[in-house]
Order: sequence, then structure tokens, then C-alpha cells
Amino acid sequence: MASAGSGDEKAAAAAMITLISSDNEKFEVTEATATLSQTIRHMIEDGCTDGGVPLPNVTSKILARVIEYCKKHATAAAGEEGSSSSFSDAAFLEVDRAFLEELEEFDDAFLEVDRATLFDLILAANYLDIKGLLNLTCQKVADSVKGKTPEQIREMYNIVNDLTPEEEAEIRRETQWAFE
Amino acid sequence: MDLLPEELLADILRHLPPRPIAVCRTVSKGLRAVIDSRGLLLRGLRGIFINCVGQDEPYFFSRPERVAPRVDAGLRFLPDIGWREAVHHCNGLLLVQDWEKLYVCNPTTQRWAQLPPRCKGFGDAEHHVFDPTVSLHYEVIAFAEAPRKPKIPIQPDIQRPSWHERCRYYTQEEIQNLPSALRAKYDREAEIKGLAEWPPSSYAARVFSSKSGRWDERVYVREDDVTVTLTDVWSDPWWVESETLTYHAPRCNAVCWRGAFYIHCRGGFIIRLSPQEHKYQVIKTPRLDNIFTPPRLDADDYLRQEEPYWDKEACLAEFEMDQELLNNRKPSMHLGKSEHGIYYTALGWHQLRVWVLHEASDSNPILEWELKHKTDIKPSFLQHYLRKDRKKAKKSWSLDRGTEGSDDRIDYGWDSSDYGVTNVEREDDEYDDDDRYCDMRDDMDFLGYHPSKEIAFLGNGFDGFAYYLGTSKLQYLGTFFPVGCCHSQVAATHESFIYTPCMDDLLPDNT
Repeated sequence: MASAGSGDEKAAAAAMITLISSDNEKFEVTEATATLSQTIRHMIEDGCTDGGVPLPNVTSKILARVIEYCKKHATAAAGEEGSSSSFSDAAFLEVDRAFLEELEEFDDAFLEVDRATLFDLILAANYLDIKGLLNLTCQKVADSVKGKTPEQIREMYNIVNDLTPEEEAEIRRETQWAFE
Repeated sequence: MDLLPEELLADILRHLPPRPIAVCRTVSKGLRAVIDSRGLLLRGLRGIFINCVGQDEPYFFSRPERVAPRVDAGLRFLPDIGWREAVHHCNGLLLVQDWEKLYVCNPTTQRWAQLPPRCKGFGDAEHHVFDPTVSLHYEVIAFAEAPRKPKIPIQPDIQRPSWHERCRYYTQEEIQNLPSALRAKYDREAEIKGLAEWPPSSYAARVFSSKSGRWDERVYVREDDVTVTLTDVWSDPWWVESETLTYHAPRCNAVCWRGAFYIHCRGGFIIRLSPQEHKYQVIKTPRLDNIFTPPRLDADDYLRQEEPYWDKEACLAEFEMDQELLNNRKPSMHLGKSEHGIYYTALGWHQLRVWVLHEASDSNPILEWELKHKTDIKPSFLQHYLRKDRKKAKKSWSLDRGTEGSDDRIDYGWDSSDYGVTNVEREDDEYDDDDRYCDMRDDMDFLGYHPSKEIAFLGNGFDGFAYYLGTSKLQYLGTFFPVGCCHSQVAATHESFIYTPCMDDLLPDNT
């Protein structure tokens, strides 16, 4: 953990932010990583991150995963900036593409979680206002519903059917095309 | 899933195409509420766009909704050059034209595209096909116009009355005075040309596709032998050249149903188009010969009304003239889509006939129209118009001119399962006795069908009604009288388009 010490250490600490999960675990991250979250970006801009950023809505388990996502994507963002400003020859484009593929693979692997975690990630991405993560996780849930019957969806997400058979038939009639 | 707040559920659903959203709607009440309150699915009826004669923009007669996304009913997001009308509506996209241009727009997302100029000779009755359950791309189809009936050219050696000199063709009256040999010659020509089958087996059209971004020629090939002739087309009372037309004939409607596109045509038929395969089929509509009986006026009513002035002869002459005017009204025919698919509707005075199309299938090899409903709604209209307190009647629909602010008198609770029909026993002091001068018209306008329930929307002047086919009940919805409009005297309902919003499209965001 960073502590107030020599001048060099202070400079390094200035670029680091401490995030505090609901169960009081502390995470040190670079500012570049943290500012993928619009919520934290605003807090930094307002200068209220001294002594760490408490995130009472996010558990340490979820926060660790969110940070993992942000670290990867922050590097990606930095890489993009670097390559567009300096080089644009074929070799670099090739590297870019390889990197994007790697990022996609990362995202796919990242989403290999159970449903409860996926929902917690959506809630965290929404609270922390991380657009990319919210999009990614919402798309994952949306994809899981595609091609399923109402009964399968209920089973998958433990949803109680509170519609009467008449209501259900009526709703189906309204959009008969979707069931053919 | 129940653990997520509604806004996040909506975010998830926004990642889905229409079909799975429709499936999610039947999962639970909660999901249905999320989808409906944000209008994530084209589903229901939101209102009716109405072109009125003499008006410079279409009106939107609708059921106000507090929660659904706002519809820009005034189409103010489009360039405004003073006049425009709705041409067609399909699954949430509205085709609009102004003096010279055609636009495809989505009144809910307020996105729009202007189409490149179209070719001459390809009808002004464009239809567009947009089925978001298949693709978010759309097509606009303009078929080649039916050939006109041959006309007698102006004969240089025959003198015309000077007031007719400006007419490019002889008037009915002049034709009667032309030499019989000349008339016979052109009658024969019309007869021969009229034998030609219509539409031709290869039916040419210009098609604008949002994929290619241009108009292309396309030929639709007829699949079977059913066809009509040009004579059938020319003898349709609503054919463009019909002498009984007082204003240009309303456009025919067209609807999408289960992947096919049905277009109502003049001449007693509809076309069933397979947009993907470029094929079509002609389906003849039910024959309407003498199915309606003109209402009989009562001479005694006229005499009783005129008593103070007592000119019996003038009074009877007025009665006869009114009766003749009434007799000359022609029935109107409409194609629509509702609960059981394709509906063909004929209206004469207040009489209504409704047929439902049964497509050919394995169990039933013959395509046929089933007469579903046959009625005279006049008594129900009378009951409404004779009520003394009808000015205070509850209004659940209103005219939306796209301006902010709502009308407090509007009841937000209308839903089509609410049979809020006043069906009280007749008590004389609640009704006017004078039914001759009440606001009821001699006939009614057909505004369209509820897309998923057997409810016909009808108009009497500027009063809108819902008529429930199942129970034969008539419900007053409200008025679409053009407030603040200076031409209201000449205005009349001309064409109407049932509007079902869609949040999904690929139109450019021009705002």
C-alpha cells in the first residue's frame, strides 16, 4: 500500500486511485484505469478522491472483475492513441488487429460467469457508468434470450409467470408473427 | 432478472430484435410493463394519421399516452414547405409527400430520409414495405399505372361551345351530341382494349430500396391465372377517371401480413405480393352488387318540420332531392389488417360488411372470403347523436397537432378492452326528438382496424368512433375537428392510416 514517503513515491501515488468495495477491501488502480468509469472520472475532476473512493454498491468480488475489465480496456485505449498519432504502416495495423482480436477474446472469456455475477456486473457497470462494460453485459443477457420460448426464459432466470392463461393468449395474439 | 431495475431491463431489451422482444412480453407482467411503457416493440395501435381534403398536413387522431415515447404528430422534424400528406404507413414507418418530394419517416424516433425523384408513369400510389421482423431495410414500390380508357380526340371540324374549349377532352354532355358513328368507333376501341387482362403477367414496378439507395426497375411475375380485365378497372366507381368522383379518389391501402404484402386495387381485386420472390397473385374481392339498400327518408318528417312555412310542394321537392342525393352515394371499400389477418370492408351509408380472407392451405385448398359481419350501425349512431348530454361525453381520443401541453378533459384510460358504451334504456328526457337536424351524417368514414382486435374505427364528420365487431357496440372516442383551421368547411376525411409505432429503423438521424 502506498504511504506518504519520499518525493518519488508521492508522484507515483498521485496517478493512483484507491477504490474501496462495500466489504471494505481496498484496490489500487491507475487513474487511466479508474477513469473508464464516468462516475469516478467526475469524482476525480471534483477532487474528492483523497483517502480513497468508497463504492458501497459494489462487492470486492465484483469490483475485482470490473477492475480487470477496465485495466484491459484502458491499455487498449492507450494503445490506440499511441498508434494513431505515430505510425500507420501495415505492420502496425497488423498489430492493432491482433490486439483487437485479443480484446475480443478477453471479452468473451470475461463473460464466462454465472448469471448472478453477470447481473451484478450489469448493476456495477451502470452504477460506475462504464458504457463499454454495460453494453457488453447487456448484450450477453440479450443473446441468452434469443430463440428461446417464454417458458425457457422463465426457467433460465427464475421468473414466476404471473400472467393468467387468458392474458398470455391475448398478448400472444397481439404479436402472433413472433411465434410462427 | 427481477433483481434488475426496470431501466436496466430496458437496456438489455434494447439489444434485441423485435421477435425475441415479443416473446419476452409473454414471460411476465413485469417484463411486459417494461416493454410497453417504453414502446420497445411495435405492437399496438397508437393512433390514426388522417389526410383531410383541403388541409395542409395530415392529422393525428390518437389515444394520449403518458408513458409511451412521444410521437411527433405534426411531423415537425421534416422540412416544411407548406403542404404535405401521408401516402402510406407500414409497421411504424410513414411515407409522406410534399409538393415534389417523397420522404420515409419514423414519427416516434423522428428519423427520416428523403427519396430520390421517382419516374413518371409509375402511379402516385406508392406503397412501402417495412417488416422489422424480417429486416430493418425498407422498400418503396410504385407499380405501373393501368392504361387509361381511350378517349375521343377533339375533332377539328366539330364546333364546341366556347366554355368547353379549354377542356382537353369532350365532356360527357358533349359526347352525347357527337355523331353516333364516331362514338361507336371509340366505344369499339375501348371494348377491345378493355379485354386486356390486368395486371399483366409481368407487372412492372419501380422499387426504391434502402439497401441500394436508388429506384430500380423490377418485374413481379404472376403466379396463377386469376386476373381481371381493364374493363373491370375502368368500371370501378373509384377509378381515377370515374365521372362520379367529386375529388381525386382516395389511395388504396396496402398491408403486410405474415411476410406477404397485400395491395388493394381498383377493379375489384387485391394483389398478394411476395416481396422477396418478386411474385404476385391476384385475389378477387367479394362482389358488391346491390348488397346495400339506400335508407328511405320519410316525407312526413319533411312536412312536419316545414309546418310553420307550409309550402307543401317545395317541401316535397326538397324531400325528393334529398332522397336522390342519398341514393347516389356509392359504397366505399377498404383493405385492412386485424386479429385474423386480411379484412375487406365495404360501407354504404351506415351499413357495414366485413369479410375475412382465408388463405388456401392443405386443409382448405380454396382461397375464400368469409362474410364475418353484416350490420346497419345507424341506430347506434342515432342513439349517440340524439343524446342531449353528448357534448359532455367522455373523450378518450383527441387530435394531436404535435404541440406541447395536454387537454385535461382527456381520459388517459382508454384501452380497447374497455367497452365503455353507454347502453342505457332510452329515457325520453335525455334525448332530442328532432333527428333530422342532428349532426349525424348520411354515411360514415372508415378509418381503419385495430391491428390485433376486431375493432373498426369509424368517422362521422370529425367524430371518431370504435365499433366492436364481436359485440356490435359503438363507442364514441372523441373529435378530430381541426381547431384553428380556416378551411374546416371543405375538410373531410379522405385517407387514413392506422399507426403502430416502431422504435427500430435504419433511417438517418437528421436532427
